Amino acid sequence: MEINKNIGEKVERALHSMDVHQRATPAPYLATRINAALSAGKQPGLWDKFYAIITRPAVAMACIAIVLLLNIMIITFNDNTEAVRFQTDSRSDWQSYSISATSASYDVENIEP
Amino acid sequence: MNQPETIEKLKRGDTALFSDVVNKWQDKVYNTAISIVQNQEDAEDICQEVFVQLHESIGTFRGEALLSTWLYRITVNKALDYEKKKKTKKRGGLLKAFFIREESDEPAHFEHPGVLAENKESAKALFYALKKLPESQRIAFVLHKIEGNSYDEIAAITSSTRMAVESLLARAKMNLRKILKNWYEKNNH
Repeated sequence: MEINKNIGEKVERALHSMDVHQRATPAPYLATRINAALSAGKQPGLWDKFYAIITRPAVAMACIAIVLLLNIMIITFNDNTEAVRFQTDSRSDWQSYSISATSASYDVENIEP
Repeated sequence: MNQPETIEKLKRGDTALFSDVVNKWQDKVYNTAISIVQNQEDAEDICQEVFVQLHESIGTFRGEALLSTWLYRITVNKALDYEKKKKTKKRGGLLKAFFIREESDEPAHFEHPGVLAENKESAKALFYALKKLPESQRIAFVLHKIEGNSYDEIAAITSSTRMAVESLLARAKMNLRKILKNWYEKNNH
């Protein structure tokens, strides 16, 4: 009981510990630091601007998405090319077979000149 | 000099007036920042960044709010950003954060430079408890109890209403009581 009362008092004391206080003051050279920062950072260079843009999460994610999309497109395009080449190859085989077959029949038909 | 005149001069690049503004406001900005981040060096960095931003963004300031409201708003946002960055660094990546729980029994160590000598230990406990509060409650408490802003001023700074601020402060006090009680029970002070 006594302990609880004691803790309660401490809690209230802590809660009101900042009721009377002085404002914290920064180091006296802060104004100099601010002026130095202002003169140093007046003109951000082209690379700084580029870096600031490229490091934005949205831009980075978009870049990754574009790279992935390009990869998928290249893979898909390559597959299609393979399929077309296969089709072309098989057709040319058939054509050559057909031509040779025709020429063979022609030869047969013209036995006598 | 009234506010529109001050703003107009600052927009025109009056360096003497800018120095006056820094001198007039640096204590309030610093006091707010140090009460949020609870670290002297970080508070000085924040203070510097606030005034640099004031200098760079004064051209876009439309004068709809008070300059003081604007400065407090920049300070609070910068302090919260600083804190988030620090937490991320401390955790050392997302993966680690899954496995390591935030230390809940860390000692109360922050000493506000302006606290009275007889209140030092109690204030340490208060700042420890403040760290455990949700962000909005903590900001409302700092701006009211430590910076001495009125409910209406806090409402303007946090872009909310007076009612919302009153409610936040009531919840902040209730939560602080709980946290402090637990802390005192655990630490047998």
